[in-house]
Amino acid sequence: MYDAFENALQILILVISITIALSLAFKTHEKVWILLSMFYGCWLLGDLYWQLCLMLFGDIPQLSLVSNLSWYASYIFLYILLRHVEPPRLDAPRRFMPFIGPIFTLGMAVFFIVQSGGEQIVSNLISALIMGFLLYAAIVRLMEHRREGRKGYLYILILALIFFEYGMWISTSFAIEDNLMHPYYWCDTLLSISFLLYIPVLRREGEHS
Amino acid sequence: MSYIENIYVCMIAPLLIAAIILKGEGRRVLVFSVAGMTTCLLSAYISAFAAGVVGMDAVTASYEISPVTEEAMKFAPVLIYILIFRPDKKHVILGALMTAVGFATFENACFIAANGTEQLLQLLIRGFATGAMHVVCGMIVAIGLYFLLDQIWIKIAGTFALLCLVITLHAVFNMLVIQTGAVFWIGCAIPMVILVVFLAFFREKIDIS
Repeated sequence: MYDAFENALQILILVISITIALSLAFKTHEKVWILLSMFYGCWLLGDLYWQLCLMLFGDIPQLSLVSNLSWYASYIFLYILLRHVEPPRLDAPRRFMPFIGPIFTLGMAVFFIVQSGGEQIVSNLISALIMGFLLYAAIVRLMEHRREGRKGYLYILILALIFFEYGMWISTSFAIEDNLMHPYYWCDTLLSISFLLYIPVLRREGEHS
Repeated sequence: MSYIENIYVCMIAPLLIAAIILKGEGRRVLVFSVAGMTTCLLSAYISAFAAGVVGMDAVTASYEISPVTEEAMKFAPVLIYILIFRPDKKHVILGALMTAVGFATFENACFIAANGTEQLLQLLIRGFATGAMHVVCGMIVAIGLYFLLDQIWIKIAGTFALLCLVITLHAVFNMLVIQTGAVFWIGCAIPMVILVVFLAFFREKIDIS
């Protein structure tokens, strides 16, 4: 029951977010809003596919390939958006700290593969690869922003997204209960709410750049 | 029972002859149409094989396997064209769109051969919904490649993301059009709604001259 409510909430938030992002894209023709719309759109399509399977056929998809592909696309569009907002600096000093991101995602992929008894190797590795890139890019830029005394809210949001995603994956890899106190629901709800924050944060970034 | 290989031979023969006579843009259009028909034939085989391997019925395979194979196969000629000939962006758009048109035309021909031509409404839906969906997916990939992706790494990741996006869109569409009542009509409206949004956004048609 909570799961259905949570999915409906996420779909509603994504519909509102994509409508605002698309209207900004129509108004300004700026690439940043098109990329944000695609990020929302892919996430929404993945959710819709999953939810439609539950509603129309009474069960989750036999193969989770289509939904997974949609969520991968979503992370990639977020990565492209991040690079578009702040392209990588070639002169930036190399530090160890950002590499913690890919090391963490790879470690988690190994954990999930072992936890699932050797299943879903490819999907776990793809997730680790994309999330690793995203984490690395977000940490590098956040460190640069902090060094220059700026806030870097966009990168904090991206780190929060990854944190909530891994929170959900870890909590469901042990047990999933239809109980509101289960961490999965908390992480998913916070993730849904975080979607609404991208638009004001990107508007702020646009004003400052 | 209809033999789709025979339909394929019958349909591509005049196109191939015309492609020999023509050169330049005309030949490119015909070659991509033939490539689209060929990928349609191959994806029918691959989808049926994959469904057999995982033990899935035809209806479930239509929204879990077919969108993946169809969209991946439809993109293959364009990918080969990009990798070998390094064409400009406008030719990539032409290639993606004409492959989708060839794919949809061949699929429609097979549908007509299997179901007859008595029901005009059914054929209208076939043309403006299912057929149009292939063209809309091709258009999304083409326009995404043209407008969003610039640097090489972004191009590779973004192309994969675009492909994932159209796969999910296609899967959601297929899931809706196998239903009845309002859900069916909502599904049928998806390609035309996307087309209208695109035309409203770009405010002009694609010029490939």
